[in-house]
Amino acid sequence: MPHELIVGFEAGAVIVLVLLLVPKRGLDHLLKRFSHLRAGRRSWLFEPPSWTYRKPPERVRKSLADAADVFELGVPLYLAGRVAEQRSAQLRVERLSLWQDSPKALLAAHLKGAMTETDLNGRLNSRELPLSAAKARVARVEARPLISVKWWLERQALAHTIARSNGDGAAEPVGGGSEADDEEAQDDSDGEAGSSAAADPGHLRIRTFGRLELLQASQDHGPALMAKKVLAFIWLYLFVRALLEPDGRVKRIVFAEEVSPGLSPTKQNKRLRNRIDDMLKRDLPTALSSRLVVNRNEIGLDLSNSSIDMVRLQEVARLCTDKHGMLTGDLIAEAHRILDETEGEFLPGWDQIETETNGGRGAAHEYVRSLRELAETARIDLMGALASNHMARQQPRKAIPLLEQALERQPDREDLARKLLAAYLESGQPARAAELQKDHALDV
Amino acid sequence: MGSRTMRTIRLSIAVALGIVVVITTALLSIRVPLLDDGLAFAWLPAVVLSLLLIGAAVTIEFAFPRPMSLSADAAVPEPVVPQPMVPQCRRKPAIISVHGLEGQAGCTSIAFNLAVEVATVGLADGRRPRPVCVLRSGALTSTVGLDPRPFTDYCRSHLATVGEDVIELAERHPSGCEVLCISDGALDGHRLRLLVSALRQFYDLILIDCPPGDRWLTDSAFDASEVSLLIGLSTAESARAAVPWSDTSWQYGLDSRFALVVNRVSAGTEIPGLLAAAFANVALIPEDVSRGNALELPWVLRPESRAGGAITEIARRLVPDLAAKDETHAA
Repeated sequence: MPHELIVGFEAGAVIVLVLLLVPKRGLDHLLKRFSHLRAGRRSWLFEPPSWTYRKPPERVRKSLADAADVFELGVPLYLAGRVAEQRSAQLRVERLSLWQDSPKALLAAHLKGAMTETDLNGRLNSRELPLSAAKARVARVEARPLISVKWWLERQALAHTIARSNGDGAAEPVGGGSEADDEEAQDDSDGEAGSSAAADPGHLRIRTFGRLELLQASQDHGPALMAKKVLAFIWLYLFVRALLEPDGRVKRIVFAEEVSPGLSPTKQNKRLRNRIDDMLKRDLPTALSSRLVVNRNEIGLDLSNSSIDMVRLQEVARLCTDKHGMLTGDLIAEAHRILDETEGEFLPGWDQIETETNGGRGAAHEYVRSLRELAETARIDLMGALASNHMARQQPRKAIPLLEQALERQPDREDLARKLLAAYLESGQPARAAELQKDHALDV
Repeated sequence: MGSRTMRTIRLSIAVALGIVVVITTALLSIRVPLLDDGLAFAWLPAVVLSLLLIGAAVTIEFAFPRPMSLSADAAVPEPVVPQPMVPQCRRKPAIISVHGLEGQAGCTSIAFNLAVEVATVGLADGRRPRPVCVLRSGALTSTVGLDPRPFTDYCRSHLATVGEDVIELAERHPSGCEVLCISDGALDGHRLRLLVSALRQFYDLILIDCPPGDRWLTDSAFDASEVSLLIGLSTAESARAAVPWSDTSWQYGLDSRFALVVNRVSAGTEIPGLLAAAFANVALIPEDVSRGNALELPWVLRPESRAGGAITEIARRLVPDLAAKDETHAA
């Protein structure tokens, strides 16, 4: 055999190796492509296999097409790409299996005519998913008949007669202020409920602003809970979910992922089971562990027979804002008291607990953030309602500091800006009103 | 020239180049003894390594056979779509204006899909949000059977007022979002301001689809909204149209309120440099393969739609307070 031919074979072997190693195409955005594959955001590293464009070919042609793909990419890149594509395919299959139960899939089935709207709502209900928003409607204001002057005069006369017969100097209206009476009655009942709750040894009083206080039978279990970060995370996470949703139950799978993100589902479940056992059997005081509701699929917190400052804040804010103006004395006192009590941050130690438990990788901070925003909005609503009360009583100067403070916290609240504008004008401060109007671009 | 032809040419050139190198090396080896010695030493390891590489490729081919495509989208080359960068709307209600940089850029479809996405999987205070779209009549609105006449007549008969009763004219989509459809030219800047102040009492998200060319309406929509999305295609026309927007936004320091959305991006598309550089916030929406089908669902309701996936990502960043928080909802 001639020497050149032998050398040719030897060189051929080396060149084949080089051709098998080196990609023979542009490699733009290679890292981004791999990262998108890992996240399941794309299916293929570059193009789909050439045989996917038409119906599946016979085996030999498919193998030849695959061989061409291998040759084009070079074996190392081809292998890496195939592994990443496999991972991406798994992720997409998992997402597709989740999709089947998602609201989008149900809505798509409804739009395709596979189910009626009633069926759709039934299925959403059975999966405990919220229903789609109903059509917006304008609230119809019913015309109320005017009170006749004759009736009013008779009522006044009757009131005077009753007052005289009781021996009172001042005439109290008979039916007037019935709303205020209801309010006071309600406040009284709240007070009674509060005192009976204090007497009940099983009652749990939860303070969340500024510091965590879990008071039962005059004993604060907050410090004991906060000392154990993982258990505190679990208890407070369930507490937060219970505040956000009426049912407040969390699926165990979802919760296990929240507690130990990144582990395999088996390890996550085992870890969660151990933690819950610890909580129930020894690590938590009975006052807290007895509140846990654990079953095979779900876990939650029972907040019955408890009083929570966050809930009270929202209730008082709602009560006051519903009045749209003048408030009763008791309600004003209660509003000031709740504003003082909720001065601090909601669950102040939460960020540290979350970081130490799951490195802040879960969705829990979103829930806490939502509650902090809700609390902030409720406080500002409350300030707005107190300011409205002052305005209704012709005391604009008392309303101004409240509104300024509220507007400083939420500068985008146009309703507060309008109230403040009115307060400035009524208190004879047109320059400040003009300045505010300019800052907030208010139409007059 | 097609991509498959280009690929054949590339591979042929590589093989031809390999053959040329082999022949040249064979001829040179007589004059360069070092080359001869090197090849004699290297050929055996090269053969072994080549066989190993081929073996690995064959093994992975058998171990992980490639799946058949699940949809028409999957059989088409995918563009590289980075994570979208869009401003966040934190106000309640969120108001977003959508402006087309050229005709048929897809702003109506994008506005509608954003609304459907938020209405279907979003959450606001534990309930589904109620978005509203003010859409121009066109192909999409006639596909979903929306009649522009009621709202158009309302606008023409109410020259200087828009009352709360206007919401009765909005059509409810089964997703929960509502649509006010209007003919081109019936809405002006003044009416839009009045309309927005009426709508904000009832809806969690307001999307305004603005036609290109009406300066007054465009300015009013921009003033009323918190974020403006500019929808363009990867064409020179969109790039030219983006320049005045970009100049104005930088001049007044409003660039953080704008996001450029390039629609119908495909694997072979080159985005003009001017368009890519015009805004700091850019999002890409891939070409939707089955967009021509009039009876198709909104993109966001099709699990394999790349355009739908991109819009879902945009919605999560655009309205974080309303968009889905739970992964199972977002699936």
